[in-house]
Amino acid sequence: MKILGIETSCDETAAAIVDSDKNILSNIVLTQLKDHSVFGGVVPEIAARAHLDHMDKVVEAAMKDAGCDFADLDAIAATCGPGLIGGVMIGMMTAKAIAATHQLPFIAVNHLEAHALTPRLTDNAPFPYLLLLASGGHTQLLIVEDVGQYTLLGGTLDDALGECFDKSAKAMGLPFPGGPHLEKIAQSCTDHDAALARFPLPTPMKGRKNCDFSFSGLKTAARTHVQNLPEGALKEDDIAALAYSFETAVCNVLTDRCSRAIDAYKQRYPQLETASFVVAGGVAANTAIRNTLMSLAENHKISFRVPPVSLCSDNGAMIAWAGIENYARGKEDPLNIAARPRWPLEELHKTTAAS
Amino acid sequence: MKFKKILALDTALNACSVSFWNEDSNAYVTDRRLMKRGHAEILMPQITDVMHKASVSLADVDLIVTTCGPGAFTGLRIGLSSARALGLATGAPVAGLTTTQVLARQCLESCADQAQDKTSLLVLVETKRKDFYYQLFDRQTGKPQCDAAAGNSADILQQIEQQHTIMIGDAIDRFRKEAGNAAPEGLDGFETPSPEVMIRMACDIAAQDDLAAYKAEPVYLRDADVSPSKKEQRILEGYKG
Repeated sequence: MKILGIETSCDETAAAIVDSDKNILSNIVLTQLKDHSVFGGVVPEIAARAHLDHMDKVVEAAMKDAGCDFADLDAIAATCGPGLIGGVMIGMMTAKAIAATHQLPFIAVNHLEAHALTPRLTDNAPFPYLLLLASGGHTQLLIVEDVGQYTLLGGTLDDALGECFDKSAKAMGLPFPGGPHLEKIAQSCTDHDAALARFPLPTPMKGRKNCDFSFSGLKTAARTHVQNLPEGALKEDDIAALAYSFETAVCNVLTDRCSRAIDAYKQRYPQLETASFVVAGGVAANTAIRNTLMSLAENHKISFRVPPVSLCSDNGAMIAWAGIENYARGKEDPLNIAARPRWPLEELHKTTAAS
Repeated sequence: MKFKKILALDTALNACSVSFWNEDSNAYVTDRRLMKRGHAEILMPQITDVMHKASVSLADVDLIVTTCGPGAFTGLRIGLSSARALGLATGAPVAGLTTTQVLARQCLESCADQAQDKTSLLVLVETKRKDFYYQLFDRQTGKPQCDAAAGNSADILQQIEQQHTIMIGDAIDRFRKEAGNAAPEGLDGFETPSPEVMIRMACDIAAQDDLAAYKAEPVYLRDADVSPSKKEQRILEGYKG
């Protein structure tokens, strides 16, 4: 079975073809970073315009790369939410049009579910697994019980982790998107203890009995440190130290929150032999975070999985794969499905359509 | 070029409209619905329904026509993304017509004998802001007298001769309120593009081999409404990334 997957929910215009044997036959991702960088963040109207400009060419390229005709496909899947609605509609309408023309099944994919199921495409992760989903728009801990079945353990009360990274990096004078730059400059910090002593940062929610997150206080504290630095241009050494302290605070928060989630997961499935902890979403590209979570999993004696960086950030392959998993279980959607700006995983089976 | 099976769609204004024309029967199958939102839900079922009623496979369509603005940004993108994807899926060319062109033609087709003293046709399309999308056409030839643009009522009044102009479009009531006595005479009934008129326009354009000039590209007439972040970002000395 081969499925075309289309993703346009944020600032990547992406299309891919994946088969049911987990082969990624093509995976085209066009990022709009440059279009948004002058604004210091993703601008919905600019994103929607760019998606329209590139969508058909991206699909065409994905088909060509895979050596496929539309007739070779078994279904068409597209992100129908959650995300920036103007962009979601471009991908959704594209998928609906191709499905209608070639009389193929159409599958409305939840973007979060696609991230959640990626470890099954890349690592054969067996159900049920514990998932930390952390990106620019989302931060959640959940147990992936099965396709379409998610138990939410906790989520962010304010900013998403990726958002906290990008905004803190911006305050530090780093270019957009700041996350990767923050990671890079933190690596050049030489005196770690001095950095932590000089730039103390809070670890919000640490010790709380639930599995929720809060990142806005951390962001504000990082900004305050920047404001307190001497006037004039910021010095690379100072920012390297602050960035190191920031990453350390984030890792401490994640260790505390995920450790609690692992306990909850183990309590629910005490006899599970294949227990695994999976990280997905753009933030999983950060090496310090990966390493921290890997040792956390080791300490808790459960296996750790993280998809390759290219499949952690938004892409079409994960949409195609979510399409395959859903279609294999008989899911198929009518062409009157609406795009949904909000579509929490707990409400996965509620789709809305025109009355 | 001559096309035999043409599909037209419009989602740019307050309607979701589809029409299919088949040369064999010279008949239209049309579904026009007035609606302010929900185009993304209704459009594709409308298209499959129209094709079903016409007993023609969507894959056999040989020309796709869509409105490409000016109008609601989300609306025009729904039409354009659908039309382009239909083009990709069928291999058929895709043409874009502006909402102002289509409304003008609609008026010229059906009201040629009305208000014959009016030599200019002013098409006014709602921006849902203070200004108007507008374009002026010659009443006799149907040719545009200016490019479509966005402007306020004072700008527009400067460009028209009130007594020789007739106005149409979904923004004429608001224009009348703003321009008062200076507003030209208005004609109701031309608020949303007719997909059948779009098909006739496409046939004419194709007959003159001019289809390439009507690209399925968005006509926004307005930049994205954003300004660069006002929060001053401090300079990081010597950082090369």
